[in-house]
Amino acid sequence: MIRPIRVPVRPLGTMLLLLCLLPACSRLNDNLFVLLEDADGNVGSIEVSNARGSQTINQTGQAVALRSANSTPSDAFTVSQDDIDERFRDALAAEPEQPVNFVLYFRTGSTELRPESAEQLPQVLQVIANRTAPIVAVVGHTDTAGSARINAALALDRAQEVAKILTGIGIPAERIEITSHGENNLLIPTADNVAEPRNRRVEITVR
Amino acid sequence: MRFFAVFFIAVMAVAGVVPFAAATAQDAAIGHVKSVKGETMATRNGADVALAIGDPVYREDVLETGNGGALGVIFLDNTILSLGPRTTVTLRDYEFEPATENISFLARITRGTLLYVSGVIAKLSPSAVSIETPVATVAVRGTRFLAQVKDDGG
Repeated sequence: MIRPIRVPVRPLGTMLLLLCLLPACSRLNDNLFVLLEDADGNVGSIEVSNARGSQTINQTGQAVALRSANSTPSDAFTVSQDDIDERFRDALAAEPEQPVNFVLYFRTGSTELRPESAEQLPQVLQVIANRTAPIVAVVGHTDTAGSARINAALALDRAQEVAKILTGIGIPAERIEITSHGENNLLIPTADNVAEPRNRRVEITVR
Repeated sequence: MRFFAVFFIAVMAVAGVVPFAAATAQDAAIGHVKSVKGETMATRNGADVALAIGDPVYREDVLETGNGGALGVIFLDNTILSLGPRTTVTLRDYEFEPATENISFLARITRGTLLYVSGVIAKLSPSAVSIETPVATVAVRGTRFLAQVKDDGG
């Protein structure tokens, strides 16, 4: 004969309270900062600081907690994926789709696309067609040869040329944002006054 | 120097580059709503505006979600903020004009949950990014993180 095992049933609140006597649990209910890995798999770092001190974390799943503005940031501790999901499920689910980036290159000294760049245009169209309320950012860049001001204007010419191509293949102009970063956003980092063909480009970002 | 500045602006104006010239104006969009769930709104110039996918957001907007609400925003530099339910985030400052090295991303979360994903601003200048909360300030180095801020803010 099997004797039924009686499990004492405690009110749920008491159970949760007992669980929350564990240090990790109470910290999870405080103000909390959790580092995640980037979409490309890299892990950066964050520094959480206030008047009482600061704490830097640089591992995915690491966290810092603070009870109040008068608390010193806690030591780094690890948060499980379940705890992350439980607390941040909705914020994570609302994350917009990552922007898609295309880099187009020009024939030297002209606003004419190089053939391999022109071949990318159907792909650009495809990505735009698959987004809801797409925004197409067209950003012109130059290398660091020559003056910053002239480069800003040159980069803008190239961006406008690409925008013209995009409207020509059916993208409504009001969906397109045209800007110039001149020589201040290099793909290949160089010193000033360095000719670098890979920096003479237009980037299209579909958001 | 001044001559060049004026000349530069004149060239931009003649080129008809409205977005570029307007980027410094208070009324230029700094990003767009890309996902919406439940009740979401922006408080803008003292008025409450419901948010829908595709809507622009502006500097100094206060973004808010209700119970069960969520909101995803992409900024001009590809920075992403996504808000969970019962969350309030103020877009305190946003500048993205790399051609003149004028860049800044400053947001404040006063309650709720937030996902931050860095964009070009953090790549160009990590020190230009700051996420404030009532209990601490977060500085980033090319990254993605979550913040939870309690209702009482501590």
